[in-house]
Formats: sequence, structure tokens, C-alpha cells
Amino acid sequence: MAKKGLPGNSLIWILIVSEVLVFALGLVAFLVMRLLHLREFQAASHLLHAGAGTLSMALLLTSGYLAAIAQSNSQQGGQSRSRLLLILAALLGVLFLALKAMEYSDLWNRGVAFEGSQFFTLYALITGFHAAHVAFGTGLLLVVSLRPTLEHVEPSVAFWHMVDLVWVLVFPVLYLVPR
Amino acid sequence: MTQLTRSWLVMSMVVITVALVLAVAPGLPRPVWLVLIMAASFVKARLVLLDYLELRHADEWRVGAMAALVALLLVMAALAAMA
Amino acid sequence: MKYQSQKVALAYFACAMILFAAQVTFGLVLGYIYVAPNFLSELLPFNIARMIHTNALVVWLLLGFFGASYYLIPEETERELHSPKLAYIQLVLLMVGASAAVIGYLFRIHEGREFLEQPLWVKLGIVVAALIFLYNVTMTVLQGRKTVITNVLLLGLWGIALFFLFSLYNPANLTVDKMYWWYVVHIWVEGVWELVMASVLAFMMLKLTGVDREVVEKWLYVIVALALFTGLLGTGHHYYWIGTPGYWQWIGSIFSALEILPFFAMVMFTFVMVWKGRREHPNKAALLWALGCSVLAFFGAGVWGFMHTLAPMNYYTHGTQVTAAHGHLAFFGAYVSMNLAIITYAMPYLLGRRPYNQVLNMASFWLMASGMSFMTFTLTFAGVVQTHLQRVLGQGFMDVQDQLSLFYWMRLGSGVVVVLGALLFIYATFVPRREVIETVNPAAAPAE
Repeated sequence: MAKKGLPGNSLIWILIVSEVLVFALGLVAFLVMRLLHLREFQAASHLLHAGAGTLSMALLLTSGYLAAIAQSNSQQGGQSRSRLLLILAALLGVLFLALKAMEYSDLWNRGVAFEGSQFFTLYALITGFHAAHVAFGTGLLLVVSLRPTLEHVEPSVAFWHMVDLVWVLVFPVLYLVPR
Repeated sequence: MTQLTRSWLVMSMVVITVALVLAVAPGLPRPVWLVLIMAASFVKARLVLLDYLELRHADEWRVGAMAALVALLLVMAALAAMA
Repeated sequence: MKYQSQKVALAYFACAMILFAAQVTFGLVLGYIYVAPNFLSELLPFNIARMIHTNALVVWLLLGFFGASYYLIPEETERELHSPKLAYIQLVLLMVGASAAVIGYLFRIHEGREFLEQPLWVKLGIVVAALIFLYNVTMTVLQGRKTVITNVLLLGLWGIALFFLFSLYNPANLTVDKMYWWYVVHIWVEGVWELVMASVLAFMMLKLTGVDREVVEKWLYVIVALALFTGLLGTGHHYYWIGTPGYWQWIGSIFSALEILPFFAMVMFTFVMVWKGRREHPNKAALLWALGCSVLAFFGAGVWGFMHTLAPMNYYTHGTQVTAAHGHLAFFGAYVSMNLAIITYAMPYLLGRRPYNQVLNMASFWLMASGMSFMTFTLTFAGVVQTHLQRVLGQGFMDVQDQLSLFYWMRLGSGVVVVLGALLFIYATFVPRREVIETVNPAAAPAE
């Protein structure tokens, strides 16, 4: 399948590029703020669970893998198989969100205030905005699993991969760099 | 084995490697640590773009995406390496 | 003019131009008050004149949008307007409301909320007029051919009406008040108005360059996606210092920094279309206005907006002449030029004549564009000096104003040029030169 040019709907690419730009600006801002508040950032980063972040990464990459197989199934007319894979991919998205909620509540219980600390303001904004995309993407996968034609599946799965891609960039910067 | 499966396996290995290093040798010198995590991000982001988002056969779009990715990672690595 | 009901646009454009003339005249008065602060201070205080300047601007731009919609919707949907009569009733309602508001302002009757100073009954009149308008155009679109241009236009027009409703809500808490206030002010000019602008430009590109509709539509989708993606959360750049939580500084800075993208896309769009275009349309002035619109909007809204949109920057420049510089070039570039472009395009058809007074019209473009650009530069320099003296060195507001008088004199000069350009434009489009007048009635016109 040698496809030339941009695969899929070009409008979804506009969205992907815009989203990645927003996250990239957020991450660069985070790294600049780290330089201005080195101590605070280093101390705060030890409150985060790098393990949870790693597990989140595995969940999303695997979910993206399932979604990609679902798409090729839709392409070859295997709609029922595609539906199953999309639901599984969405389930992993739900697991990601559950893990994120546990991380947030753990930070909350340890008295972290998201206002007032540059680190946690940016942490909450960036991961919160990303989690909102995961929630939206999960819903999208479930909706298209109702009628998994290629036309429906392709843009939703592309959106889902954007969510993967963003986490690949967010995770090391927020969890690993400031340590 | 399809290209897609191979990519997923490679990415999984990368995730596990970083996690292991983090667990076994948390006191790694900072430059080594930064190179490791940025390289890991590059491998994962590249494969997501090439095989999940299917840019592998999209010629100039692939080149553009890779250039943008490398530029972003270099900026982030430079900022992370300061101080 | 293919459809009789398009004629409605003529009345709208005429009323828009009356208010345009009033708006720039009051602008000139304001520019003079800056250099001679006691001028008319009893009869027409600065705040009242400013109200009329800004309100007249917004109302005439809206009249232009309505006129543009009434002109292009029949052509796009390939049918007559649902009801030309309702369109005229709507215009009368708007003009009565606008005149009453202006007369009321002169007698100090207003609600005092910046830009939304209209008394409640005028606001309600505007809502009724908007409902009539939306009913009229939506019925026309539903019964006719649906195109991307009309869909985007309707989305923008519905958005205008919807977000105006927030002007009716005025909570007592000043922070909450300001939050909703920006729902009208920001989401209009940096959100839904951009959709109207993009679709009108798309219509003009289609007509002027003869590029395929599918190509135009693809660009339109891209512009709309970028405008909404960046513009809606970009509202955050107004939430830095009004008492809202600090995270708005991040949200506002990041999203509004990207607000330059839809304007850049519009520049690319108009120039690529002209580049690829196969059609030599005789109305060169309309093309000049359309290209000028995208370029000046890019600089005024995009570049000049970006200059002070980041929170750490805005901390110093907030509410200085930098804002005035940005406001003037952004409104002129994006919305004034867009309206003047569609008026320039439509008037020859509405009057049943060939494009006339091209030279005068194009001269008016260069007069207004250079006057406005010069004004923008002088205000920018004034703003930079003001920021330094007032915000960095901590001098008093009025002491600083005294030191800016040279800039204010230069601004007044550029204002005179803009007013002359505006009057020339009105003359050039509405008073055709006799010797050029020829009917384009296909039966009467000689075959070429």
C-alpha cells in the first residue's frame, strides 16, 4: 500500500498540527519556567509518579496499536473485528483516565495546590488538557465503533494517534526532565 | 509480522528500557539521562508518525514531520540541559 | 446582479457608508481632543465621542455583513431571498436603534459598559433585528443550494447573534462581568466575525479569480478550523488581570499566540487564488481591497496582536497606546477592508453598471491604507514610550500624556488622510462618472 501524499483527511491534519503546536508551546514554557525555578521544579517532580506515567505511555501506545489494526480491518471490510478492536482501544483509554484520576487524587491528598506553584499549574494545565483529549478520543472511538466504516474510523483513529504522540512528548518533559 | 506490529514492539521495548533504567540506576549522570530520554522520545514519536499516522510513504510530508520533530526535541533537550 | 432581491444589499451598503462617514468624523474629533484636550469638553466629552466612534464602527460593519449576506446568499443558493420586505424592516429597525442610541449618548443616556453602552431597549431591538435577519437568510439557504460558503457564513452569523446575548447579562461581580463581556467583544472579533470575513473573501475569490469551488472550499475549511481552534480559548488573553485565576495567563498566551495562524492562512489563500486564477475580472479595485484586507488583517490583527498578547509582555503594555495601535489596524485591515471590498465588488452590479471609478477607488485604498498604517506606527511608538515612562519609570499618567503630544499630532494628521480616503471611497463607489456609465443589460449591451 504505497500511499503518496498526506494520508487521510487533510482537515484532521490541520487539527493534529495545531494541537501539537499548542502542547509544544506548553512544554517549552514549562522548560523555561523550570530554568527560572530550578529548586521548586526539582522538588515538585519527585511528587509525581514516573511509574504511573510510564504505564500510561504503555497503555496509550498499545491502544494506538489496536486502533491502527482496527483501521486496517475497516479498510479490508472486516467491520466486526474492527468494532471489537476499537472498543478495546477505548477501554485502554478509560484505563489511562482512571490512572490519571488516581495520580491527581494522590497529589491532592498530599496537599498539592495547583494554584500558586508554577510547576503544578503547568502540570495540571498540560496533563489536564491532554486528559480532556483522551476522554474525547475515547468517546470518539466508541461512537465510530457503532459503524466502523473506513470513512468514520480513519479520522477518529488519527485523532487518537495524535493523543499518543502528545503523551510521548509530555511524559519525559514533565516527569523525567526536572528530576 | 507487519510493520505496525514491529513498531509497537520496538516502542514497548523502549518504554520498558527507560523504566528499567529509572528503577535500576536512578543516579545516572544528567547528560546521559537526558540523551536517553530524548532518544527514547524520538524513537517513539517517529514510529507513531510513520506507522500509526501512516506518514512512512508520504514523501515530503514525512520529511517535514521528521524535521519538525527533531527541531522540537533539540529545543527541548537544549532547555532541559541548561542549568 | 442575477437575482432581484440582491438589491436589498444596496440599502444596507448605503446606510453602512453613512455610519462609516460618521465614525471616521468622530474619530477625527477624538484625534483632535488628544492634542487639544478642552475641545468640546462640555458639549461632547471624550468618552461620549469615543462611544459614538466605536459604536458606529461596529454597527456599520454589521450592516456591511448583513448587506454582504443579502448580496451573496441569493447567488450562492441560486434563489431569491426568502423575504426582501423583512430585510428592509430589519434595516429600519437597526437604523432607528442606532440613531436613537447616538442621540441618547449625546444626552448622556447610556449603560456605561464599554462598547455595549446601548440602553437595554436598543439591545433588545438589535436582538429582534438579528432574529429577523437569521430567519430570513436561514430560510433562503434551507430552500436553496447549500455551499460551504453559505454554511460558514451562517455559522458566523448565528454565532454573532448567539454571543451578543451575553451583552444582556451584567453580573454585579466585576470579574464575572468582564468574563462575559469578553464573550461578546472577543468572540465576535476574534472568532465568529473571522468566519464571516473568510466566507466573504472566499466568495470574492471565487468570483474574481475563477478558481474551482472545491479549492476555495478546502481553504475555507482550513481557515475556519484555525480561527475557532485558536480564537475561542484565545479569549484567555483578556483574562490576565481581571481577577481570574493565574492559569489563564498560560491558556491565553499559548492559544492567542497561535491566533496569527488563521490570518496567515487568509493571506496565503487570497494570494494563491489570485496566482492560480484564470479569470481576468474587470473589477481590479475589488481585488485590491480583498488582497489588502488579508494583508492588513495579518499585520493589524496577527502581528500587532501578537506583539502584546503574551502575559509577561502585556503586564507592561496593557491599556497603553499599543492597544490603540493594534485596535485600529486590526479593525481596518480585517473588517473595514473586507466590507469595502465586497461593496466595491457588488456596487457595479447593484447599480447595473460596469465597474467605474476604479482609479479613484484604488486611490482611496492607498490613502486609507497608508493613513491607517502611519497611524498604527505613531501609536505603536507612542505606546512603547508610554509603557517605558509610565510602567517602567513610574511617571504619572497625565505627565506621560504630555510627553506623547508629538505622536498625537502625527496621529491626527494620519487621521485626516484616512477621512479623506473614506470620503473619496464613498464618492467613487456611489457617484459614478457619467462618461463611463453604460448599462450591462444583456439585451441592450452590444456583443463583444
